[in-house]
Amino acid sequence: MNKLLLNMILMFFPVIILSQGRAIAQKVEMRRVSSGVYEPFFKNENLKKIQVDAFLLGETAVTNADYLAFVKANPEWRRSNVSSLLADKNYLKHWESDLKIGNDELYNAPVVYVSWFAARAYCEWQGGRLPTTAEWEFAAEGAPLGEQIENLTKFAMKWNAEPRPDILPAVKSTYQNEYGLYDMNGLIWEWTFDFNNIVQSAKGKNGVTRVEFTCGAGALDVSNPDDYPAYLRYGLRSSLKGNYCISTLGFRCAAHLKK
Amino acid sequence: MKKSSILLLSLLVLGCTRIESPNSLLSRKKEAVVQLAPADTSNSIYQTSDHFVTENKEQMILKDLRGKPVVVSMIFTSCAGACPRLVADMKNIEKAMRKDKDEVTYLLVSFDTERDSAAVLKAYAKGYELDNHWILLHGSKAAVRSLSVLLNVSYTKESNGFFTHENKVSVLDQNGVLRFQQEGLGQNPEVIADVLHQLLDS
Repeated sequence: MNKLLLNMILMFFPVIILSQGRAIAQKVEMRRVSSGVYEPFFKNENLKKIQVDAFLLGETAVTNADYLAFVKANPEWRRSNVSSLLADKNYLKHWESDLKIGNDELYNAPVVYVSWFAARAYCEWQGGRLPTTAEWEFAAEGAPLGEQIENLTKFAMKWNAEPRPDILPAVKSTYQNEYGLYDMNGLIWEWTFDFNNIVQSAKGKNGVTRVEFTCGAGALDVSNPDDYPAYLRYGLRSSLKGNYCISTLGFRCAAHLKK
Repeated sequence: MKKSSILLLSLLVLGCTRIESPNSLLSRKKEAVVQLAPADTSNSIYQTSDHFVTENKEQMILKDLRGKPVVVSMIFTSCAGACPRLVADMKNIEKAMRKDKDEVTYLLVSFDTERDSAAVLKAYAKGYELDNHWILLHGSKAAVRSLSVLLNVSYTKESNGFFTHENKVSVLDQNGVLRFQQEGLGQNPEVIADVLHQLLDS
């Protein structure tokens, strides 16, 4: 193979991470998200801007088929074995049994009904990690490619208002953004590594004052008051516990860039 | 409508409610007795496999704490505000245990994965005169975040390198099941001392 061709491949193909030393090498397509500054939705005087270093993020959310390979290789994460500390009773409830998804339409749909602990374990098994909230939000701000979506906030709003189908659409069914990532809005909610970040209002006295979501407080110091979808995401995250498994909450994995 | 929207709404509403801290309802007198819910050992946090390092540079997993009740808080050593008070609260609990004080492990885990090395934690323990029933841990970002999720201690690292965090003192039983939590600074130490005595007597 000539060098030019090799370079072309390296440049244009998504980075492929092969998990090391495992019986079944799972292939995860990762895209590079370039560095930038993320302005948190809820700001306070000590946290106005977060520098996000370049990192790799999964091109799509983890699918049911991907997740099946994980539970096959890790029996402790099968539905009948999992600890209630790490995943509540709704864990993988949409599957037919421990090692059977059941409905064929689910294979390429994002896996949901998975806890934070499960998501973390999956990503570590893949040699990666969960993205931080700042990384995820920064990547989600990436502009949609093509002409279909004119206004991302409006698109996300519309999705928030629609009922979720019982069988979620497959990954890559919404849009791709400038980083090459699919479905950052419009398919599911996604776990982040630090979902239990504290949300603090700027004028909180002596330490911690939680913003009371939907209770009218704290909404003054947000970066973009029109970004209702971001508000909903923060609201959701702050009400989660690590073992919650929910019908619309899945995840995708991130990885550090090799230096 | 939209099962998921209802779920989300209920989650948002839940986010607004606060769990009433039991001790706020109790007087500071000793008759303040907490009724402990029965323990479900399947909820032991000792089933996690994250590695930590002690102030003495010893590797450990949480399971190594098994056998004694544990009082645990999450702090960081460069914290000038809440953390010293949280440590003081734990020392008051130690004092309130009186003759049984050495039957308990007092655990501090640092949020600051970058700066709170074993040596820094060792110096901190010395500065606060914490004896060998105290263990100070640091660990990887994932290990510390995971513990914070298990203990329901929300925290955020800010741009200046400091951490905003909830102030909670948690009690683990001899098997690592989270049995009781006190939220907020300057709480009555007798309440947790009573919980610990119940665990020791069980």
